[in-house]
Amino acid sequence: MPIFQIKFRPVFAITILILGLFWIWVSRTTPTSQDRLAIQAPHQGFLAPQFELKNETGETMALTDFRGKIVVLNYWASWCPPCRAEMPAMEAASKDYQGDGVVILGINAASQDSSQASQTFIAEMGLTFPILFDQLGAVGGLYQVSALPSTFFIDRDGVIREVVIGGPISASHLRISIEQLIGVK
Amino acid sequence: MLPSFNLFGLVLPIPILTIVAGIWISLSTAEKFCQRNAINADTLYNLVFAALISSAVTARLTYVVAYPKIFLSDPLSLISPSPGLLDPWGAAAGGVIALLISIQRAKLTIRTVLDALTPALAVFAVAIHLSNFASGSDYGIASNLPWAVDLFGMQRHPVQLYEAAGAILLLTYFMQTWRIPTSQPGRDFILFTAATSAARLFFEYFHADSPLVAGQFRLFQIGA
Repeated sequence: MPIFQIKFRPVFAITILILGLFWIWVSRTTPTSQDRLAIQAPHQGFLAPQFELKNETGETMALTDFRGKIVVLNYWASWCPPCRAEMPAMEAASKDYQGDGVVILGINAASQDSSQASQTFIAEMGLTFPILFDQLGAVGGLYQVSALPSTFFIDRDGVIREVVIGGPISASHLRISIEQLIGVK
Repeated sequence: MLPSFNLFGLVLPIPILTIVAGIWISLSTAEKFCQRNAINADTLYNLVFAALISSAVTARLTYVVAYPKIFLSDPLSLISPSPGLLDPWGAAAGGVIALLISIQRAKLTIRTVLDALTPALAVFAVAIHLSNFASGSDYGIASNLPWAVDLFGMQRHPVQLYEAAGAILLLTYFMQTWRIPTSQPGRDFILFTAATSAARLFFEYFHADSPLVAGQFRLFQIGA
């Protein structure tokens, strides 16, 4: 048996339509009232959390130093096999996209890694991109890193556009994500 | 956001595990209601697997077509398990086409198959919302209600849980009606679609990350 008699169906449909349109009107919002671009959080669509760390020469570097560039933030440790597996792709991408304003920024999970092991890892892999050392695990906490490696793709405005938890990230995935960000100017 | 499981070096994020569990429970549920729609459970499984495999292939191929040079330089990426290299629109197109072809080959009607799949879709809707809650996606607007969750720097409406609760209510209702034989093929699917759209129309108000149309109207509400 039909839910409604035929003669009531148009009235029902029009009522539903009017209620729907009313609710759409009530629910309207503006981009500025959507708060995410003002908040720092390790999630797609939010400003990347700011930090300062030291590199291997003891020089302090901040994420804001790279504002205006595309940053691929890769959190790694020397004992992590997927980190080792994806590092050649990171190094190659760093060289190939340097001219497009792309920076691969390695963050070593130094609070869970030994200094000697990480230095050996960097030398073995022949890494030339900037690497910072998270001695206290503060950046790992800030970015809620739950697995190694973790990679964050940050656009020129400092907004996180993609998060990849775990790895190894394939060379294709890395390059496509970078090219998508290069395309958004 | 919930953490990830690390199983012998393989990282299994809870949101993805929730989706996988959702697919499994969905198919088990659909199997129970198969006979009502006069479809053999094996046939239904074959249709779904054909659609799933096809959607995975077309999801990856969409990226291959868009970035051929990158895949030519790294052909192994074609079979990489990376979800980031799966295009959702490509997946949807491939899945629908494969499903339509499989329905035709099995000599079934679209309406009957959609009715048979409705229980699976209803369960899967619950899994999707729970997965979004686990990943922090589709998050809610600011709230000071006692059940607000602390997410991304403020207390927010757990809108994913509201939607999951709505989907469970729908599922409970349909579980009752699915026991009664249907005389109108396609009715279950249409009712489910209408109810799901109404729920989305209502709950979208609580979303903080809605894509907008004309600078102020929520795209998903208009779609619903």
